Amino acid sequence: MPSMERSPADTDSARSQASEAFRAVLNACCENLERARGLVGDAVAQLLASFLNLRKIVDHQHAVLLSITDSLSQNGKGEGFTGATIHLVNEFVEQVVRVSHESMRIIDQLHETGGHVENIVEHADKIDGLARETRFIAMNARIETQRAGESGRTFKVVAEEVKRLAKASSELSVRIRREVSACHASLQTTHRTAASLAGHDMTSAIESRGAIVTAIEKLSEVNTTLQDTLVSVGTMVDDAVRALQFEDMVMQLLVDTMGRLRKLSLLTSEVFSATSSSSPTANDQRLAEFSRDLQSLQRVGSVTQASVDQGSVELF
Amino acid sequence: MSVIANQNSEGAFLISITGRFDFSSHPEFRATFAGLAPGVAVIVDFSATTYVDSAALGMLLLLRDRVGDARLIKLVNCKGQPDQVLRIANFHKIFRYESQ
Repeated sequence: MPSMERSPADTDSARSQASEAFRAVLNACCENLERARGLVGDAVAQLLASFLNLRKIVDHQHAVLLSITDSLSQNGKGEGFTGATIHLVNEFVEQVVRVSHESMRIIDQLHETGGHVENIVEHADKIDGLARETRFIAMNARIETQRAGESGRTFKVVAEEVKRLAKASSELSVRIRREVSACHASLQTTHRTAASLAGHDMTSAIESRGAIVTAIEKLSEVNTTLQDTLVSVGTMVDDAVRALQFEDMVMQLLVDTMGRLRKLSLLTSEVFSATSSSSPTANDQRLAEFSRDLQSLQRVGSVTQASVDQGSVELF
Repeated sequence: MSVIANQNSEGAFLISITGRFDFSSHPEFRATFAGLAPGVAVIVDFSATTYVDSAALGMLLLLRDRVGDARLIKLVNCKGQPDQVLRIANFHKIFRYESQ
């Protein structure tokens, strides 16, 4: 109610000042809300982009992991890296056994050959014996020819010849022995070579096989863990992306609030537009209208959800 | 190592190997089965064997060549390192085989 001491013009001016100040406050509120809308929008856009990238990386990692798992369990032949590696170790062991078997066979044969060589030595001994006897006969024959004088001259030539043959036999026997001894040395070398091929410690093969099996088991264990982790990271990212849709609600709330503030600003300026010249009835009418309008502004908007946790996001 | 050989009641030829069964066992092992005729059943007892190398595997295959059929040979009481080596070489599938 205007005071009786003040002029109507003063009252109008104060009212218009208050109206301006009120409008300025409402505008400032609207500006703040507009800035908040921009900030939330930018942040959410960035978060969404990051999460989508993360999702892409997780998917890629998952695909890589699956390809590793596939190659571990299956290759072109259907036996997989695991099977192929064990197969390789088995093949290696098989080769070692085959080489040992053949080497032992060679050694057996070398033993037999050694026996034959021993026989040759025995024969050479016999040749020596024969040569000794022949030499003895030749010596006796020579003595007899000397005793026979002129008539034994031709026999002397024969005796000399026999002596020469005995000497040749001895020399032949020496050469045989020399060859046999070289043969012995060769047999021994071959024996050593075959022995080194035959005898191998199998401990490393056992250990390698064990180590490979353990490593592969460990690998598939790690693989499973990684896969589980990636799946749960993927789910979390999906949840985060879904949660980010709250931006829509925030935006709608902001827009709604700004709309109300603008309306409030409009209504207020209408109420304040009443001047001292206006009739009291008209003023009362205006106030009644104003409170009606304010009541309609109180109505709750369409976004009722109070938290992101309240189930799925409702869009309107 | 030492190789003890004799014939059991069922007519099978029994070979027991004590200690290490490796390349150095060859002369003795060879002498043990030198007189065996093809077709004779053989039992090789590993209960006192402490070690087996690849040469021993080769010798067992020579024994098989000698009797003519791997199923005539039974490897018995295999345990420890000898059991592991014999298995890795698939001898438990080639010969008749009994672990301890």
